[in-house]
Amino acid sequence: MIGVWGALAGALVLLLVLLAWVRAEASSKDSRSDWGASDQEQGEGVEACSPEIVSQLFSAADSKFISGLESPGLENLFRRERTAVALHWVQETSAFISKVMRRHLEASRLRADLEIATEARIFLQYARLKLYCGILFVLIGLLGPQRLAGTALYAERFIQRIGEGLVEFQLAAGLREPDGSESL
Amino acid sequence: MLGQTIWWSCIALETFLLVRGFAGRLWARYPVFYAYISFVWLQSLLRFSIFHLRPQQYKPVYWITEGLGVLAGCAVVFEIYRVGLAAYPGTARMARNLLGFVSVLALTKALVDTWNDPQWWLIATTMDLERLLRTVQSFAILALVVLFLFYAIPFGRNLRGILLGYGVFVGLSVIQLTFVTDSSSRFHNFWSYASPGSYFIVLGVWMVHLWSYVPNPEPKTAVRLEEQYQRVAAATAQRLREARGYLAKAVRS
Repeated sequence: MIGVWGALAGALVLLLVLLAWVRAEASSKDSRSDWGASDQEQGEGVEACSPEIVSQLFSAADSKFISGLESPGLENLFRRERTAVALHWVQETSAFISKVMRRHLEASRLRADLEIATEARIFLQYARLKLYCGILFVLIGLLGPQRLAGTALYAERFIQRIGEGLVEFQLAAGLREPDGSESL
Repeated sequence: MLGQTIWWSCIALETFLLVRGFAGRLWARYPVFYAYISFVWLQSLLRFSIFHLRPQQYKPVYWITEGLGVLAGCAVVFEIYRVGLAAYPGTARMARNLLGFVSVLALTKALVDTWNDPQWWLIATTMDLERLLRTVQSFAILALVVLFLFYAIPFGRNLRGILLGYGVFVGLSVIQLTFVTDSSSRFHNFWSYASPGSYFIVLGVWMVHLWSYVPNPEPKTAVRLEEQYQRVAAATAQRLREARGYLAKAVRS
């Protein structure tokens, strides 16, 4: 039957998850009110930062200008600051995605007409976005935001390949997209 | 001597837990859990008496009551699901599917193993069977806790204590049953104290959390309940797509 090591691993995972659950319960006691009204009242969108500023972050124009000044100290400072701002932007966007998901879960947990297939599809969509943010975060940290434009394409292709795999999984599991919705 | 002390302490704590359950009217709120504790209390007294009066019959009595205890534990898991998700029909539906999946998986595995080796029922010891049942139970609790975490289901003090205590008890039982198959092993001596000791701690957790009745928090109904699920899901998918487009646009610029 279930192997000795499988049983042992299951028991250890259970104890760890219970620990995580107790900690999450304790930390969410005070912030539980954030789950509802406060988020909805704010009504903020994904574009918390204007597109012009964001495109400036990833643009190579400023970097070229600073390089032209031929001051290594200034260039280092510029790179450090830009990287820090770009990383903060990715974190904020990732937090926004989490907030969207959190609101969805808050709404769906109360609905008796919840559909497992739709929940699974939304979760996969969410997981891919979080993965995308994670890859962006690592790439920005390693290469800096200016050199990201080219490498981001690799990240996109990587996500696309995962997406193709997931679409195959969804089709196999009967989790088809509803009409008009885009497959991420 | 230490073993006897732990044994008596556990019986005393179980008695105290039952008395507090009556005094605080917790029996009416969690009937299955208190029926389970009553069973364990009677089981402890029976085992203690048999151990001293008819030691030759201790082994069969131990394994029969142990098996019944595992089955009663399944009812406790069901009560956690029933009470914890009473106000959350969406998550309850998800939980039913997940628990169904765990059951089907366990059953399929059992059937496949029996097909491959029809003799395994004869070879397996009572301890093997208990470990198997406890493992399935631990997977069911694991699935429930993951759902509670994912949907951030708020728990009242009482139900949190029941789940925490029972989850730890099942997890430790699986570990114990995995290591203590050989009575001559080093672990056997250690677990003969660690197992009742850990059960004493579990009883302590129940005692603290079930001292008096604390209702489960009501769900915040800031969300519009008249909206259909499909509309909510479509809105979420749309917002996630927007976020995806925003990220892609920024890094391509």
